[in-house]
Amino acid sequence: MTDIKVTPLGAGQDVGRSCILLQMGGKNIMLDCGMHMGYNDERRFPDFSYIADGNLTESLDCVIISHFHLDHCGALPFMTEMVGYNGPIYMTHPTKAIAPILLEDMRKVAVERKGETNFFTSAHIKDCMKKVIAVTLHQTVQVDSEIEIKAYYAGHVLGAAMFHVKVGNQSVVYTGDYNMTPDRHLGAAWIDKCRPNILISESTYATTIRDSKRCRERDFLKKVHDCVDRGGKVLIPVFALGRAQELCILLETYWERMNLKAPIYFAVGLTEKANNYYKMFITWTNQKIRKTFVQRNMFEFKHIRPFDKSYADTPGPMVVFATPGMLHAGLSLQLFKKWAPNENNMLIMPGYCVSGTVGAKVLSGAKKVEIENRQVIEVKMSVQYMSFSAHADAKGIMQLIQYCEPQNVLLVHGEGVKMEFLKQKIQQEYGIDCYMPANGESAYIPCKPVVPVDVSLSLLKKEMALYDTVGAPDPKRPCRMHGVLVMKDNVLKLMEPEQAFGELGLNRHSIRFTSCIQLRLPGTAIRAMDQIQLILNSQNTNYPVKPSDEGLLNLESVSIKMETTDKEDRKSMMISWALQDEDLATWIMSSLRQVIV
Amino acid sequence: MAVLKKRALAEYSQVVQEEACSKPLQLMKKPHLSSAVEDEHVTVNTFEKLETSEALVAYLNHIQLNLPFKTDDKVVLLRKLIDTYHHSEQSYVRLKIVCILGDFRKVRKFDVQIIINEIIKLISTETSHKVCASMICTLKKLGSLLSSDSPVLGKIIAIGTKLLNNSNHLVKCHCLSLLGGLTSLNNLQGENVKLICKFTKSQDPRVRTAAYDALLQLHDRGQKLELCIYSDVCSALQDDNENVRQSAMRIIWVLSHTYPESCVVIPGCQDEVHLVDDAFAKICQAIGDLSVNVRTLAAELLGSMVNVNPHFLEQTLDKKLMSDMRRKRSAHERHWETVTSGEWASGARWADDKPRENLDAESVSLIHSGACGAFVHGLEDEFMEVRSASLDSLCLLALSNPRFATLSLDFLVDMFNDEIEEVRLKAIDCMTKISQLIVLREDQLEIILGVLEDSNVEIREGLHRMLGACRLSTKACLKLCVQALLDNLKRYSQDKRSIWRCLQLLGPRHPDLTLLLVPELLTVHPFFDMPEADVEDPSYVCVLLLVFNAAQFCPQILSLFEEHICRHYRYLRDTISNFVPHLQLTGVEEMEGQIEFETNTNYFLQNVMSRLNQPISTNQIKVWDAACHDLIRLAQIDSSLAHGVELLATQLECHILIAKVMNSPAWIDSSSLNVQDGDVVKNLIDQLQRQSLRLQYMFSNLSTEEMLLIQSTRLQAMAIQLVYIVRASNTSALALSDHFVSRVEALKGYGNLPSFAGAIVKEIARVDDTKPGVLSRILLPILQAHIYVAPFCLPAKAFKLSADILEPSGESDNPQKFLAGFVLGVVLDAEIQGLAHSEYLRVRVKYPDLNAQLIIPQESHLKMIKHYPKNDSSENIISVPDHRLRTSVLVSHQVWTESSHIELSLVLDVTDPEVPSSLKRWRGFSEDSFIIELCKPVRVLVSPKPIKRGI
Repeated sequence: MTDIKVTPLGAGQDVGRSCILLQMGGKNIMLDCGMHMGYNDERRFPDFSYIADGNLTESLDCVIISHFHLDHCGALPFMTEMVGYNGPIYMTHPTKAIAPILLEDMRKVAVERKGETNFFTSAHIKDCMKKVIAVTLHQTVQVDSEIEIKAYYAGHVLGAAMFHVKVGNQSVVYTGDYNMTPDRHLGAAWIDKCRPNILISESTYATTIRDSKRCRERDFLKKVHDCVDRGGKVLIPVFALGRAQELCILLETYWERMNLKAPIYFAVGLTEKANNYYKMFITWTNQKIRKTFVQRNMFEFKHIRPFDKSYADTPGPMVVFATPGMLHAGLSLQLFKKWAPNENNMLIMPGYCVSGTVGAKVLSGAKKVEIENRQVIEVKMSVQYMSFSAHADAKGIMQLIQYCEPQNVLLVHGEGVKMEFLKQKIQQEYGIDCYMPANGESAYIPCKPVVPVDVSLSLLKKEMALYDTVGAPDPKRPCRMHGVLVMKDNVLKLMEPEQAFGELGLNRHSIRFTSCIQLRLPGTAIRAMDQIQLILNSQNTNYPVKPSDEGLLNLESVSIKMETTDKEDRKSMMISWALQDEDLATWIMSSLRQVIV
Repeated sequence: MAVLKKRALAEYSQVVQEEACSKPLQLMKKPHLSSAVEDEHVTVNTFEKLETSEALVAYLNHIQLNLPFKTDDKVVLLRKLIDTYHHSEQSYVRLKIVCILGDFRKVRKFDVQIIINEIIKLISTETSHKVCASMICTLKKLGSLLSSDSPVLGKIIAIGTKLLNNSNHLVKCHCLSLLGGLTSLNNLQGENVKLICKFTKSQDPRVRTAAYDALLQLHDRGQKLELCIYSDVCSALQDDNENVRQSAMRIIWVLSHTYPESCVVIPGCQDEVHLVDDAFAKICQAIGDLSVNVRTLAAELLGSMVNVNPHFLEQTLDKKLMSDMRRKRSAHERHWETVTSGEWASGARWADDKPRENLDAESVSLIHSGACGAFVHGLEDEFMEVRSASLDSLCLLALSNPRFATLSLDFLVDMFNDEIEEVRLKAIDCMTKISQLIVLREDQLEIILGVLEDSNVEIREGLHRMLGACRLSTKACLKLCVQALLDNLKRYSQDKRSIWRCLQLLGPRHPDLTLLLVPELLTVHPFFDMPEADVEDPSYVCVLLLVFNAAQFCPQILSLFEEHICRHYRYLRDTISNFVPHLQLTGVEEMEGQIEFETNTNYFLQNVMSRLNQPISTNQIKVWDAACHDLIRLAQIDSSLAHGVELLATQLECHILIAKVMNSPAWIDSSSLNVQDGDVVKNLIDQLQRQSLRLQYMFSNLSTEEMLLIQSTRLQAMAIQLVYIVRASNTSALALSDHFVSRVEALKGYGNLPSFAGAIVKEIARVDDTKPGVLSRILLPILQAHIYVAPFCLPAKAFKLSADILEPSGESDNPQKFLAGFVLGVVLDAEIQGLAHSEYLRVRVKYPDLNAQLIIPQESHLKMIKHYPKNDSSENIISVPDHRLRTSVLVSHQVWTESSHIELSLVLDVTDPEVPSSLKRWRGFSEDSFIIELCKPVRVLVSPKPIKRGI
């Protein structure tokens, strides 16, 4: 039972469809419930039949969603409404607010555009969201009597969180996606030294160390500025949420700083709705926005206005953000068609493009691009690629490991080959075990069983006082504690002996051992005692030797007595000790024997 | 059956209604002191009368507030306090008493040893940890007053050592701090330091922190910390508690300064490094710490570690980049390569930054070992505190290492793009500081110049200063720079002066580069006569300033000048002479005249001085009058002497006024007063006040003797006023005389006072009573003896306070309209020179109805302009900082029928230091006698409009 079992149903040596099953202390917890954007069949959802056939409620104790990206929460309505799960679902407030917008959008695309059936409905999304319990950062939530979860800030997107899950004495940190470098609207991920048994970390950029963000930003701004200055139009295809907001803030502040007048347009879509949430969740943003929002909320854009189709043909410079991000359809493609032939214009791709899309073709340098209906477009506008990614790079991952000091690391959400490298590095640099299970493969992480023992406060204080009076703290000296271990109602307790006897109604017995050694020592018994005292004093410093009135020597509970025998130089030394000082007595006897006998 | 069961249950269940809480909520009342306590005189017998402990504490508070009391039964009070201590059961009462005992150290001539002995007696029986801790704390404070060889000190330390074994952390912490603060530095030190070191291993983080802080305290007191603790302290950097980490880091920093050269073995291999390098690496690692405070501290400490091996230093800017296991160059490196290869990055290809060589998986180290990339991380940190501390440190290190300065340049330029303005500004400032050490490349300059378009004035002006101080590498750079500045001027015309100054500095730094650009800039053509540019055009003036200032160091430029440029030179030299240097142009003769003139002024000045210092004649006032006239005129003519001469003239004026007052019969005799004479004297005294205040507040950068001389003159003026009020008027002069005496007291400490002040100080010390009547009787003879005695000398370095309002210019004819009763912000931009007391600076707004308002400018609006070392040639190096006031003056008024002028001016309001608070409402002073004008008022046309109703 002490092993922790982690089984990725998605995101095991793979990117997309994050869904990890965590079993520890007899509890089953699902971390994220995402869908794969690359598939259109049942492969896009995790295989829930792995957990149980039919209703999942009994086999799962809770579901935790790290952030609102669809590869982390896309399968949630499917799971709760179509497969069937009624247990608790946890996510942060912003995630709870924004996730349904994205889910609804995806549903529309899938059902209305692609005409898919057997997909979840709007009602499903609503019902699903009703089951969600929202959590706040650093708030400890008791799921049931044993499971305890706590959210930490993760950067990445608004509301992204890392979760610390604790069952009994075992704990796991699941990072979701996170970013260790701050950006224009979000801060960096942060976690305290919680020392979990396992850290389950994403590893998208396992083999990359990135350059400073400032250079990229400056390049981006300069290019946009130059283009606007010469009267050109700038097209920036974006995905709806996340990076779009960062770029908006970037341009907005730059426009403000440089006092520029050229209009910036934002294609109305779901981003409009999401922006409202961005305005509300100010506490989740970075230092600058948090500090200045009283004067002005940075998401209240002054220079950025909604786009209208008629603006596309207006002369003069402008900057337009348009969806979708890969130029494969929609407004961004329309604008591209219009503006591509003019060399004054500019296209900036802020993210990755899947091969085959117009975006990818343009990026690879094609001067003539063919669009769906055999239409060929000459690309004269300049094309720029600017990567604004919000995942931790290799150094960031290592830094997080350093922060929270886990006993094991488990990598997910990344390519297997790259993970291999990072795994090797983690083992090398921190000397801890690292796992990287594939989808459907279980990793068993052995954990040392920990037995908690309750200690009564009075006992602790008493023993502390003993320890304190000895002098300055010395980490090398062991500090022993005397008490009685009582096992009652499956709980271990360390008590003071008197109290334990009192509770049990027993009389206290103590065992003393006595031993007699024959010594050859000249002189009287008293002189011999003095001699022994000298020897003992010279050899040990920790325990003071106290002579008593009856001619005994006392060390802790050990007492030594000397008796003369018939023969002149022979004495018999009697040593008596209680059980707890067995070691001390043995040591005294052996050392006396060495010196005298 | 079921019903029956229900009934049975119903009977047994009964409703228990809890009685409503009858006790009303108790409100804490402010402890009311009995009348006995409120009595002026603290009587020690009050203790018996107080019954509740609350009253006791209130009474104790009262005692503490009035502690240096006038009653002389301090010993009795002490006894009473200790008695009360023994009787009181509440620990907070005892705590209060211990606090008061500690405060006894403020009582003059009280032997602290008595209290120390008392506390030592009490501490052995004290049971409360808090009281105990507070006693230790008090002992520490008292102990610090003792001499270092006092036997009592040993006793205190023994107590401290003994109580270290107390189980409470608070007691332990205070004991450690006591050991750190009192342990004598020569004997027995070893043991105590060892003891403190042991407590760095304590299980309580608060005790650990206190132990490290105690070590730091010892260091601050001059104790050399031992090297052997280094490895232990280094391990404390991994401590779970952030305070421990911070204190440990400070100790490492201290050690690195104490033993920079000793060697440390790196664990894991046999290499040895210097301790300073090792410590540097350790602190660099802390930049990646969990806690913001630790990161900030680390970033701050790095800056002062200047003697680190350059190799380590350069590592801090290095972060190995990779992508998919392949080495990648950073944007900086890429940029550098494209620049050196002569080919500009097209930026069009998306694999532009594609990774190059494959990396060996073994060789990549992911956790930053040593100093690697510390500043890269520090500058990218989430929190601006860390970023700006990193910037400061980076700048300090760069100043001491030119190679590092060059390396750090790219990072500084990157910071120009920070999201927070303060950080951007700081980056620009840092760049200005290191600009002596670096040469800007064209690509870097381009990025920097982009910032000139910033809409923030501070940033633009900071950048102008920076450009004025930097060095450019090529002709193209200079051209780029000039072009950008001209664009800037076109966009923001209010930057005119700042840009002019920038170009004025830029020229002399790059005379040769300017030479190459002259034909282009001035549109000089070898064959054709080009049209003459308009000399009033600010951008043309910019170009001219650059060329003229460069021409000082490159005479070839002069030969390129055409006739109209010479004319323009003469015009500009006349209008904005402080921007245009003196050039040896053929056909411009007036310059020679001026050189001759300068020798004349010196001679003339000596003449005047000798006349002044001649023995007193009968018509001394006339002699002074004439000299004063001469000096004022001289100050107008010769700017190099102006400040000192003006000071002298003002002083002279004061003394003329003093003599005039003293010579008029009416000033001490109100009986023979005819109205006209009285007014004359009153006017003279007012004038004297004003002049003496000007003398006191308008000049800075004086030597002590010159200052004392001024103080003496001021004292004389005050004495005259005092005597006048006592003798010739019937108002009370009590407060005034107190004020006068306090002024005299302040002068006591100085050695050789001028004769008047000296005499007064001596006389005042002799008498106990400082009633106005007595005082005036003493003053009168001294005053009369010193009518004409005043040695004059020329304070050559003196600096006069002056202000110059740049905006509003006062030339606009368009009235600024606003709704009557509402406020209008008028932008005020002024430069102030030699401002020593910025707290007295006010903006005065005078309305046409003669109402005047004094507005205190916001502290943040008044900025000191830093002066970076200019090249040696610059004419007058000013040691007094310049101030820049940029604020918006709020103006408001009721409806006027038409627009009218209001007057804005900068003044000093010295009412606070000069008028004792008890005299604030006294009518004897005329309203603006304590207001010193700094500049001519500027007129602004405003028109408050009536509110239109019904809209």
